Amino acid sequence: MQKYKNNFLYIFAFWSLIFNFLIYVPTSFAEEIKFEASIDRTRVSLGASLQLNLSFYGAGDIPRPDLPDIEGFDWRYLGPSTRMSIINRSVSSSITHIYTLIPLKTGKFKIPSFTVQHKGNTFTTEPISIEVVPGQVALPQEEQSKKFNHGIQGLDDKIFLILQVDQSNAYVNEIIPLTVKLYINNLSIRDIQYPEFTHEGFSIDEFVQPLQYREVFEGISYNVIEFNTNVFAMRPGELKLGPARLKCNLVLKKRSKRKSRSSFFDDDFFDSDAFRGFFGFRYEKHPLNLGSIDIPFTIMPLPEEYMPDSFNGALGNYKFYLEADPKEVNVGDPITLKMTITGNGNFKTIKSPSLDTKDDFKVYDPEIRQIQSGKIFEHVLIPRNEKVSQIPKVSFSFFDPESREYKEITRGPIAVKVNPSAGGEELKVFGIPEEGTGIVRRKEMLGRDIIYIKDRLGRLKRKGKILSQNKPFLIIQFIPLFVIISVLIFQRRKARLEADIPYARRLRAPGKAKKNLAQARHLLNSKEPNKFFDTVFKTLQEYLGDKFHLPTVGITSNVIDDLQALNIDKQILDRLSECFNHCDRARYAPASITREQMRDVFKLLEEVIDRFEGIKG
Amino acid sequence: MKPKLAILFLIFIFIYPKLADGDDLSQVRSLFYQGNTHYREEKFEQAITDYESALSLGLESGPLYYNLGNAYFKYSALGKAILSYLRAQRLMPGDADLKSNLEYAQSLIEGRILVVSGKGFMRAYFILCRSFSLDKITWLSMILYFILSSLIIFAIVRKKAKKILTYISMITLALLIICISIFFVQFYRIVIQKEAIVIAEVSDSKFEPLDHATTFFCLNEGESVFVITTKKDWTKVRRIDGKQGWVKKSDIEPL
Repeated sequence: MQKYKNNFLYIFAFWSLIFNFLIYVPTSFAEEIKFEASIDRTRVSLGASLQLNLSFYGAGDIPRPDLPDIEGFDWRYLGPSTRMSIINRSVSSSITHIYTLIPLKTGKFKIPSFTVQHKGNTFTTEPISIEVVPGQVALPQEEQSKKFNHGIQGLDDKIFLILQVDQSNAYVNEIIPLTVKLYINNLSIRDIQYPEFTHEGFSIDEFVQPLQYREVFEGISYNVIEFNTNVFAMRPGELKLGPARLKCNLVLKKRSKRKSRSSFFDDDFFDSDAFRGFFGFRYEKHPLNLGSIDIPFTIMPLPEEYMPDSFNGALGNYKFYLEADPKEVNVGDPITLKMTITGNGNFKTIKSPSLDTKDDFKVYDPEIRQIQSGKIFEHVLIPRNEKVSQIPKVSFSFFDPESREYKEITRGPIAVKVNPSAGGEELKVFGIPEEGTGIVRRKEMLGRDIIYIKDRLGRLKRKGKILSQNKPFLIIQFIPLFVIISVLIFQRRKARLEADIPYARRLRAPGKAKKNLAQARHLLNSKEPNKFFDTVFKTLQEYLGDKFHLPTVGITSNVIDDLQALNIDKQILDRLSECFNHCDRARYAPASITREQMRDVFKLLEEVIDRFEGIKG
Repeated sequence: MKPKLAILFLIFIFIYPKLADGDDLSQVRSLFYQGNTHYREEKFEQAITDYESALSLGLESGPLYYNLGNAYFKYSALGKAILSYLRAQRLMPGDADLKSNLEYAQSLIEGRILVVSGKGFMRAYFILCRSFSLDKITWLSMILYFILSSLIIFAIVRKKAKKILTYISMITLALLIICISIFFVQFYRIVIQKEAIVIAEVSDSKFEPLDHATTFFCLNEGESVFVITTKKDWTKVRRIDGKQGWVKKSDIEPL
């Protein structure tokens, strides 16, 4: 079973790959071209150099643009770097032309925008500001505070975490989309874990699959990994979200002294934390613990004014539908009432709209299903009597944070037809008459419990034994098959016996001979040698006639000539001739025959028939 | 003489196991009636002991499991009650009392997941499948198989009646195919698919077979699960909604 399952999975995976390839590859070629300029830092000390990247995304064959003179800098072209990447199943190619900028003097400068023509289109970059300072560059205080101490010096510009939300105030239960972005610039990062953060007073969803793209932030190009989720506040007040924390490993390449040849297979080669490359490099993993700043929130309570009675805490913008099925039932049969709520908002906090059926229905707790952008409540209603004609209306209300007002949607009532119970079940009984009212119908509350035990033990069987695994039972299944085959063989043989007379005679020959031999044996002890020899002669005639499909009456010793033509062993024919001669002699001189001779003839007859039986007819 | 001997032999091998159970049979009977007496006296714990003792002798019957289910139900062991009812259902699927008690017991499971097996024709087909016990459908299939074989033999021998015999054979063959398909569905459900019932009040289903592992979902007493694999004291199970996790082996009992 498992084997077939695996095979199925492989086939499925193979077709999925083919399908994805066919769907996504053509679309990737139609990618839009983007042109961006970026630098590796915004502050640089005089005497140091910085890197300027001119990147074309969506095209890998654009020649290097000639740079104009840049004020305050000298530049040198280092070369191109092409890149092909597959992110979220879309293929993208890019080319980056790398230049080195060497500051010539201190001050604040602006790298102007560059313009490139490609296939009739013009692409322009944004200008970038750079500050050239004398001596060592230190990071501004503000920037340092937003970045978390990860224990490795000089990484603040290279990797950091940002927590983003679109709003700073929200209502209780209002969905707030939250984004955590990890910016990485020219670092090798592995084992990135999902972010964690303090969220006291908030409820948080699980993070969805992270996105990966490139973004220019403050003039520097970063690889960005974006994590998205939704949060909502559970109580009003001034709350704080974050700081977000994220764990990952930084892989650093270090040149190390090559050990002796024997140490190549040492255990540390396979060390999980550090492993050695073939060219004398050593890669080391450094755990990083990144953090972001926290975000203050003002969470407002929902307004008490104009709050509908049916309001149950739902917040967002929804649509509400009500369906009942079936609409015609018998008393006691269930009706499924389906309430569907779709739209945008916090589905987690949506409760089933209340249903006021008075005593008309018995209402069971709903079955709740969460679907994509919706929630379904399925109630089972059981009408208590045939007078029920409708399912009452149901109201669902919610607070719309955009228009800042409550909205109420009412559906129903739904007309239903309830017939009296089919099984004649009495749902109403005549109760005790009240004073002065005569006989009054009173609704009966039906109880429910298990039905009483059984008095008879029933048919006992061995525990765990099933008939289909019982060996004698399985053997019996072959009987019909055996009978059918036997009948088929029998029918075929019967048909042949009817159609093929020589075959039928040949088949009958030994049986008849056996019968005649028995008669001859009986006559052996009698005092009538004539009868004995007549029987022997008749036996030979009938046997040879049947065996070789000859007319029985005409068979005499002359038949030996005919048999010689059939290539029968001469010895057998000699014995047959001898037997015929004995018979002839006995006819003409019966008095001279002794009992001993009769016995010899009988033995001879048996031998002849026996030897003829050995011949295939 | 030989065919007579063969028939006698076959009768013997079918009846022999039943003869061998003679002693056990009377013991099971007396325990069953003793259990019924305890049940009537509302001594449910003793009734359970009697019924379980009867079952421990290696014999089973639908009413025995049914009464055991009732005793467990009254003893407030919902999981064991449902387990016994389901075992009874395999032996007497058409019993209306059993159906009612099982439905009622299952309606008391907290947070129960309702399963609708298929729609339209498939739903009707699965209902039909469930109305046959495995042995019953095996017998029915065998009878139809013998009838079909006899018809084939008649058709071979009596060539004049071949046409009418062919029509009857086709109908019998269609019925036989339906019976065999029901047999396979029931065989898969009862023999291959390892169903189990949660007998603990609440059972935490974890991501790993470890005590301190994170709980993935909770199973309530009486819920039905399918056993995937077992590892020491832990069993990996699949809930009806497809979620899988590790539960303590003692929290569930296979059907």
